[in-house]
Amino acid sequence: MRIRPNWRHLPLLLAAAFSLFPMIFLFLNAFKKKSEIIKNPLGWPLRWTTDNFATAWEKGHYNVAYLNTVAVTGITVILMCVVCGLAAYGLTFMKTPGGGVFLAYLFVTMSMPIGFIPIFFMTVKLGLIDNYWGVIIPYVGGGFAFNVFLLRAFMIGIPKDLLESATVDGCNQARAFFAIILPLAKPAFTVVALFTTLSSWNEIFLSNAILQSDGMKTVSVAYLNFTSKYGTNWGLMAAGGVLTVIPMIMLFLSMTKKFVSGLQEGGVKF
Amino acid sequence: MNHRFPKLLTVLALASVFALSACSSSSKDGKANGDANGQEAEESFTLKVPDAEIWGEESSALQTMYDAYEDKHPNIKLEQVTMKDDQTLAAALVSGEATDLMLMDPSAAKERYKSNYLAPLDAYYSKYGWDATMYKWAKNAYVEDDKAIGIPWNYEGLILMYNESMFKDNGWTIPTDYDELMALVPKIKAKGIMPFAWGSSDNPGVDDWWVTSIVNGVLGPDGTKQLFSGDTKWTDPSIVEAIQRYSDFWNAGYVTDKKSYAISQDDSMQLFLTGKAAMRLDGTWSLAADNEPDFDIDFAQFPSWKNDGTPVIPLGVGGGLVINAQSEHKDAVAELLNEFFSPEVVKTMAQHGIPEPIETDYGAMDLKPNVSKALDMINDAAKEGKSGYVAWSYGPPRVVQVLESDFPSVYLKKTTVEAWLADLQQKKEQDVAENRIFDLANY
Amino acid sequence: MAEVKKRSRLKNARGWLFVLPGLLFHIFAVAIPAVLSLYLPFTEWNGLSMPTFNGLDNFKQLFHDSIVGAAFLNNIKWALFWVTVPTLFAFFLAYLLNKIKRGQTVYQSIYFSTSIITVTVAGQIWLWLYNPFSGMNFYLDKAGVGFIDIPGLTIPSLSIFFVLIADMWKGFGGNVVWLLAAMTQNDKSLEEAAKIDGAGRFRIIWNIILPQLRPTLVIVTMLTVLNSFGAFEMVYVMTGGGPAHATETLSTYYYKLSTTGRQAGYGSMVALLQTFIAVVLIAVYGYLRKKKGWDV
Repeated sequence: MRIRPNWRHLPLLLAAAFSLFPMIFLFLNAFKKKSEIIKNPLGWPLRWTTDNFATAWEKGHYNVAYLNTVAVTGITVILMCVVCGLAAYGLTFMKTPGGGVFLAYLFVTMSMPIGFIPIFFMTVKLGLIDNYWGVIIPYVGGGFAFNVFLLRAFMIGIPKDLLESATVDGCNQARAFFAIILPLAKPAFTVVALFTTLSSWNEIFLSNAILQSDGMKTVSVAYLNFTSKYGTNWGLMAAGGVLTVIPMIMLFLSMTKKFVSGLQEGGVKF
Repeated sequence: MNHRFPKLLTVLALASVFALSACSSSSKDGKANGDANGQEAEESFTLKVPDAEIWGEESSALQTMYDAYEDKHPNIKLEQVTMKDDQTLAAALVSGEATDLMLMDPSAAKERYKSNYLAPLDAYYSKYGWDATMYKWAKNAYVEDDKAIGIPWNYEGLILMYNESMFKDNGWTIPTDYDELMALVPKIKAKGIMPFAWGSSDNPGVDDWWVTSIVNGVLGPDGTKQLFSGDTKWTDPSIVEAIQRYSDFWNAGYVTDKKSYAISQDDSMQLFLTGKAAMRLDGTWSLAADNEPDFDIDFAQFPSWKNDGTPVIPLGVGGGLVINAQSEHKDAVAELLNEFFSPEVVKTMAQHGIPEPIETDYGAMDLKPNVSKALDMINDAAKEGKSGYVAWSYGPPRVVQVLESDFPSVYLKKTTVEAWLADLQQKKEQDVAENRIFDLANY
Repeated sequence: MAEVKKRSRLKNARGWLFVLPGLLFHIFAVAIPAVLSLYLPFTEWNGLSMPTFNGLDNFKQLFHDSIVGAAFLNNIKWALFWVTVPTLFAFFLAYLLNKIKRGQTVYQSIYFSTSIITVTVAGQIWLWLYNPFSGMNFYLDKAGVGFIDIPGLTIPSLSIFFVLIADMWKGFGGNVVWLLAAMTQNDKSLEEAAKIDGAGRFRIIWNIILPQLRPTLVIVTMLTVLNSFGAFEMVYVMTGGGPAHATETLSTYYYKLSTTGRQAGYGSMVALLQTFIAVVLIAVYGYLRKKKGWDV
């Protein structure tokens, strides 16, 4: 078989370059000394050095930070899938008087700017400063509205007959959820899981304020330590940026197919 | 396979709940165990202190201080907590979660003292004699209602940093007043070099360095005092003229080619270090930085903005250490603060270009040449009455807030100089009415 | 009788039991903080001491504050840009991707990979590129095409546009994935039939593809507009709203007021305005959807 060059690849490749080329500078700068970045921010490194990574790893406590981030992200993702899945199921397949108004309310909350101080205040009142739950609760609560919409959109597409036959068979609603809906809606849950992973992995503002001690720091906050009142060490920042991004890139590369098929199977209608 | 998926989820969720609660309780046990070891008179507890890297390498003296203290007090554990920005610290204070020891600017400290978040330190000052060698003007930056509320941790001044090699090659001399400055800058520009490198995109707050430099140069130390705390008005014709001068200066392209707001401070340092700019307005704190330029850097007093004026070095403190009013171990924190004056800590501070405001012999400390030269220059200026006052330590808080956020409106001509200064004057009067200004007697 | 009725009513509302766990999280993280911050717009508060009630003062100030107007205008620019340029760009790419056989996944990963980067790092990368002295312009000069001058952030009135390009770089990948997902669900036979009838490429896009995509486009647009009125992170990282408020958005203004500005009370009023805008937008959307039959 002969592969005919397709003109469509040209604009697609250009767009790919648009995406990739700024990122290349991040990677290049991670291998330059601080003083070189100042003089040569976009060029090829004159002297390659891996010192930034070693220093960043040590100063940012990345070994602990990775564990913390995995724990926070993991629990957030699992909880998010469970509570949003249940809620979407309830709102789609069961009688929920006032459900329409509730959905409209959720829609409004999605775009409401909520001050940081009230959330911090709540966290203190619940005694969750320097505790994983101090960030997990706001993450799950904050993502609840959007993910309920996403999952509900998917579940609307599932034929009701399937459920009805299950209920006739003596399945109660909870079992119907776990045995029928969850497996069927797996693609949509993949999408929710991936979105949640990305957002909680990258979240800075809350984790910076709530996870205070070095032993509790997450990856996205760790590299903020390289900037200060008296200036920023961009070499360390770039290295920290790379260290933060790599796990997500690997995750995304391994998940793209599932993620896209999740969206394709109906996660796009509200 | 599909049917096991939900169960797996539930199991994982439950397991993680238990794991987490186990984690948190075990860490508490750890603290309790520490108690058992304290047989000596001193009870054992934990003090929460700011992360030693809170202000980057420059704050590493904190680590020296913590180490010295922990050696002497093995039963007391210092837990370093990071509060990256002032907003986090504010939220922590309001909710009673702030650290025992804190690092903050004078204006923030005063406001928080008034809201009863900070402990007065007079008793500790007299117990340890901290002010025996401390510069009075520096201590006064942390005095409110006649109470000492903090320890000024460094002093710093604004200077003119220049490319010495470039000046030598071209036979330029350092300007000392406005006329000389205006004679020099066109020559530099004609060579295709930017006279001044400046950048404020990352932090518009740095623009108040210019205002500080301008008012100090035009009014002199005493006039600046009056402007900040006394009767001199911001609408005074001399100020209007001087600010207008800067606006013209900027619009003539002498400051980063009229692009200063598009680049950061770091970027402007890059322009200077690559020889694309001849001078910078900078602080003494930056003299310790390891920038490895290909030329010689030197510095001088920034020229006066008066036609035939003499230069004044505006001085101020860059921050200070304060004790949380809600701390249960204030005496212990004071003991820790006393280590701040130990020779090792004093030396570490000075080596990072942010010397403590105390009289001491810096000659023996093996400082970088430019750092010790700056210290000498500041001392000489102070002796001659030629040291001034930086706005961020002494200005009325509402005025400073505008200086740190809205100076671009002037040189971008979004408003007139007169209108802008009239607004400043109004803000100053508001601060006067609420008694929030720096007391004239305390300079 | 009443007992039975009550029980059946309970039974009728059993779906709420499923909503409850998530709702608890929502209440702690969103609802209570929102109620807490509902009082603040009507107080004078420096963020430190106790807030004191000052009635409608902040509300009046809102209308005399020219910065609020400028910020609002920037939010509108933000929304107009996002619903046009990146959306068209994403549609174009998704359309092409839908036609090729190999490499779909790779392209999508590349486009989406920029959303993975934390915004502080992404903003810094673009600041390096926009730097008028060492960024793209410097290299264009070197390449001998110095007459191409990318203003970047050097012209205040255009700054918002260049911040938007950086934001688009970070966010357009999501739209590509989203639109492509919707496109692959389209009925291919309609397109084939139109082709046989001799319809041109643009006719097919306009008459066959777009109508089928409408539900997705509507929802993407809606979310985009809502997000635009909350635009914060990229602006905050790149310009902080400056110079002289040229790139200020309602969110950056709110943030500044409540932190360094120490006017948290008034800042909350700005936040309340944002909520109000969101409610209006959603109401309009709901109206069009129900009454005008723009159904999804």
